[in-house]
Amino acid sequence: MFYRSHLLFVVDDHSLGKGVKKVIKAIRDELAKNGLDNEVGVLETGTLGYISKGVHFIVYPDNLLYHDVTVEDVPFIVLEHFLKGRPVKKLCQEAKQEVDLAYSQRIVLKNSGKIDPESIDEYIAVDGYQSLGKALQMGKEAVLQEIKTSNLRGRGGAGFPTGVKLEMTAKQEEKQKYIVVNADEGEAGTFKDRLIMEGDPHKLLEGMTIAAFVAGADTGYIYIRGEYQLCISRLEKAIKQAKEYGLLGKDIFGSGFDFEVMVKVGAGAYICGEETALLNSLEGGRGNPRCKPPYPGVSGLWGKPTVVNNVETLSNLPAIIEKGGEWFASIGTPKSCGTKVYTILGDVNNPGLIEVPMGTTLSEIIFKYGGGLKEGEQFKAALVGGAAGMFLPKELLQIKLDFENLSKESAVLGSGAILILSERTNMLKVLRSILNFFLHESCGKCSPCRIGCKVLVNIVDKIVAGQADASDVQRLLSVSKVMQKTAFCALGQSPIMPIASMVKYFGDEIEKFIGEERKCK
Amino acid sequence: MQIVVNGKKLEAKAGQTIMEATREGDIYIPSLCYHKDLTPTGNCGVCVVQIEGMAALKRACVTPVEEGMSIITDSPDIRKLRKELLSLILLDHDVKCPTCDQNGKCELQELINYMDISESEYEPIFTKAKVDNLSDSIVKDTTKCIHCGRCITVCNDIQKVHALCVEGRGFESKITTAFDSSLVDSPCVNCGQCTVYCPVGALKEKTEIEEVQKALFDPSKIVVVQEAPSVRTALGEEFGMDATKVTVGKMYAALRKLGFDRVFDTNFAADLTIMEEGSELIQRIKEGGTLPLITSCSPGWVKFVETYFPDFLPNVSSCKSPQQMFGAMVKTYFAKQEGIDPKDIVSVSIMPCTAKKFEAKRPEMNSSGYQDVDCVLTVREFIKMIKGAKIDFKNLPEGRADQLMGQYSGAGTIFGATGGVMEAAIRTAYAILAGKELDNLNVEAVRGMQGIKEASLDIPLKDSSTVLKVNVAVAHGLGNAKRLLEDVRAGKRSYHFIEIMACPGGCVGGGGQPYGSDIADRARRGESLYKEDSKCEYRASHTNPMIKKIYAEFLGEPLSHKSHQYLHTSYKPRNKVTGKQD
Amino acid sequence: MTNFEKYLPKPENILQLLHLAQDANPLQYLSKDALMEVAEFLKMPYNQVYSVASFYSMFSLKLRGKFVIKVCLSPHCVVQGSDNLFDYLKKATKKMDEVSLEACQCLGVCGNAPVVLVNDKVYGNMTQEKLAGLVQNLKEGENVL
Repeated sequence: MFYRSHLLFVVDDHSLGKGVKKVIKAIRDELAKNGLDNEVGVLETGTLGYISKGVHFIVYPDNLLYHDVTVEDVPFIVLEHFLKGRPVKKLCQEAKQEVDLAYSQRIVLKNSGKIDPESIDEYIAVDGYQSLGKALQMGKEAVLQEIKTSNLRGRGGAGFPTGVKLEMTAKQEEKQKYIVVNADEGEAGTFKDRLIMEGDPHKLLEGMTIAAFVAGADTGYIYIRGEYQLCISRLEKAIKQAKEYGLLGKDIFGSGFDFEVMVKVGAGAYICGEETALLNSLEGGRGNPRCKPPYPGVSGLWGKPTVVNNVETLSNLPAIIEKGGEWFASIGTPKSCGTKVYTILGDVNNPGLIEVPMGTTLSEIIFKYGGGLKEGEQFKAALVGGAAGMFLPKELLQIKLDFENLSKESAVLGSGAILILSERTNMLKVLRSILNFFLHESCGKCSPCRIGCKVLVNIVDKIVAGQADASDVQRLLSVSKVMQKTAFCALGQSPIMPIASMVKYFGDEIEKFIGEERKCK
Repeated sequence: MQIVVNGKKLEAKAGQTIMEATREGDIYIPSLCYHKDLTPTGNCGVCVVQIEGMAALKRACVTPVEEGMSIITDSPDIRKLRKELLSLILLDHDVKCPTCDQNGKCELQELINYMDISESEYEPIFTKAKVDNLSDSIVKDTTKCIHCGRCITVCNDIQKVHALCVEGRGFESKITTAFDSSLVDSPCVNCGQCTVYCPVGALKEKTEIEEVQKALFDPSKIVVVQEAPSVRTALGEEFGMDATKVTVGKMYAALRKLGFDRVFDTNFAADLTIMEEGSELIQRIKEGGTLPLITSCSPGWVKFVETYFPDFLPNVSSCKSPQQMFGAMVKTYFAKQEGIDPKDIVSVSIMPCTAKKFEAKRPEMNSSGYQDVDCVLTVREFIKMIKGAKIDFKNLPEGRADQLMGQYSGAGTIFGATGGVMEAAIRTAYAILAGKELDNLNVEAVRGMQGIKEASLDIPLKDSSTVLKVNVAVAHGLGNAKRLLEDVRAGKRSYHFIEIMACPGGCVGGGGQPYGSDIADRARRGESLYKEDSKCEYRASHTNPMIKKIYAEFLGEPLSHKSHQYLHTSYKPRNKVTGKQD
Repeated sequence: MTNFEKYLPKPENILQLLHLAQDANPLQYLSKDALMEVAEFLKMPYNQVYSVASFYSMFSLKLRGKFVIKVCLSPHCVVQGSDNLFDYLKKATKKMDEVSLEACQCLGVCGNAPVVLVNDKVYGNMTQEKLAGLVQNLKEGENVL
């Protein structure tokens, strides 16, 4: 059927919360009522990157973005725009993702918002699964070489070179190997993996299959947060479709390579984002981390060599195979290549999801892509990397966000969450919520973290209650230092990041509470 | 391979952790959760060390050695970290040292002291909780728990009892039973292995010292005491004596000094058990009864089989354990012999075992009209009483037991070690079936610390040319027992007779033995029993003159009506969640 | 009996089974019987099933109300005032047996902060006024805003 107009509705967890399904139904009904259902097509797609535009959709070919649409608006929009050809100006704007969402630089999110994530045909129509075919023809060695050339590094936080990781498992002589996708995104203020999976689930499957081929794994698990219902259903649908097309299962593309994928649903535990805790959870246990060594690449799931990768990392692989490792390596900085997906939140005009080259400065992210601070607000700090991240002050606005530059400031890229805080923010309140987060999410296995998290919260509560003295601030630092040095895994080693940066850059805000009877409000 | 520790070369074996290699090399790295018998967890974090070329500190207990690895185990920085970490751990521990059973043995106390940590100026943060003292055997006080995880490993991985687990997560997490119910409402079998491995006294036995003291003070009571075979193996080590030797005479002397009216010996009842159980085995073989016959001396094992393997209940010997046989005989045979009203007798036992407390309280253990055993003390409680009376145990003159129920054979003695019941039974069963004694009384195949032991024995039947082939197996530790039974159930193994002891090593490794006993201690104690056995005048139960006497004067013969009435019992399945009989 | 048959009786399926069991219970929790059922199906020790279930925040081992309200107390939502909303709800739902109030961590819909979850329904950009309306609707038995 030929439509004169297409409406691409963004259906993700943000818009679902705003009632997108009802609006879509209303629009379909309204179009049918006006006899326009054969002329105007309504499609569902994944995220464009916006998260604060309510129910929103793009009209093609007009290239207009309607936002914050309610069911009540629908009759008027249909009447004015699609019957009379007069766009409703107060509800729409020119779709200019090219600028504010850095559309042209997208690799991982390239198809998101453009294709129907629930249709494998649409993915194939944009050259989907071609890289898998190419990879199978190239052979393991050549694919591995390409990935190494690309210098792709893990996007889950630690930044370990993906090629090296795959090679480690590929080298193991064990016959049974696994690949596990870490989709247990739980870092506060992070939802990039969610939107990647919601927007383009087949890209993850393709990337995962390529990685499995290199590592020699015949079974893959996607461990996904229990709360991510839409992701789960879209991924399960995608797996079913890929199986039907012979893109998963036995003898893919006649190459002799077999690969099965299963979705495993978590049940609410941030710690399961730690790869060894995730493996324990996958096996049916408590999500406690394991000792390393042995590393999962050597002895992981059920003691077998296992590659554990983040969603975003694997979603880069199809493009690397398609365009070559050198192309990928040319993007970003010499040591941090490619793009990075960030979630920008807080006091900015355009909070949302962006994908920009590694090395983009914090300032650019805030002011160019994030649309700057809300009217009348002044920048105070950016919390980069989520709860396990660091507060960056004004002085560091020009810092390039990549693995090297951040580590120079003892900060981390982490999950790619960036929370922008304006001058009005009560920093202590933010710190307290972070420490409460750790207290809530500590698995309790090791003493330093189990006890340390509680002590930290107690100290902050004491400061907030105005009952602390300077020694308590020192104790925040010393306890978090003990945790950093002796905690079993990254979770317990992390609280020092927000604490130390807070004390270093915003110590005066804490001092305001010392010795004064003041409430934190 | 070679590693470098604090600048000095040290030989290490591939596959060892840093902790194992350094302990072998006599270099001490402090730790709270590490125990050499158990799979390390890395929970406490106290054992962090610096490895050259690595930015982060590593836990010695879980980090494998590598060729040429250079390790710093102590430095001003590491010491400072350890002290701060221990201070934090101490805040989460309800410090009640003077009233704590572990006082003086507590691993946390020792470490805090050794590291010269001063009292914290900060408020403790431990979560207040009610002490669970509803079980007859084990008391659990989670306010002392430091979450080392040893009890979890022992209860679930080694014993496969699955009573204790971690509930919840993070600071709120708690080491307890499912739904935080009392141990009495859980599948806990009272083996007490958790109490042996607990470093801080969060798990201990339910004490009965006061009841015993009360009886000792009461002039109207005749207080009779029995001591299990393995008790005498652990006393020497506690009082600074040669730990490889048993201390029988001093044990009797100490009991007399404490005021017990009659000092007998459980070893006598062990001989009695062999008479009954050996006869039961022969009867089952001859009459086509349920086989394999499985021993019933270990009350932890008995509750375990009732809970997890009810299909094996017909296999379990109907014999009461030596403790209970002894108790029943005290209130009948002894009372009659001495003309005492059994109501005036208080029957006390000294046991290496926490489950014996539960066993003594089983309601069916009263065939004489009185509870067979009134009070059970663990070895630890016994030691506490000796120390409490300031008895100079080491220098006590050797005492003697009272004859009537105090004489025993070497077969009774070895009951305390894994394989001992089997060996004792073989000695007697062989003699009964073959009409002559075994040429070599030492049945080496069933001795030692291997988890499951098997042996096959040819017994030439007397007055016949047939040779009976008897297949036997021995398992100690309930995990091994489970493995063995599953194989038997699946038809992979088949036996006539199986000995099962709940605790690793048998009673020498019982849950009532001194805190901190490790596998090596258990093995050594077992050997001391075999040494004692070899020196005994009588080495098979049926040769013990006092056993002959009790049958002649009271019981008649093994499996007689009277025997059945007093010395045998029955079992009922239990609920896997509540541990209760329906 | 909950319908477990679509899963193989392997420990790796425990979370799925626990989800099934909890979803099948109108009181939105895992009862002792449900845990026993999972333990029997997986041939896992009961205390291990309990320990696993108690680890994950999506499972409740206590009876809950018909409506489970979760308020996100992660940094971003707190900056947007979710801690005050939580305090408000504590008072507003105190006497409502049908409501169980819980704090939760980031749900990944930070664009709609502050976020409140009622059963599986996400409510974004919440204010005290909106919550008052929601609580009123919950009182009338409807999970709508």
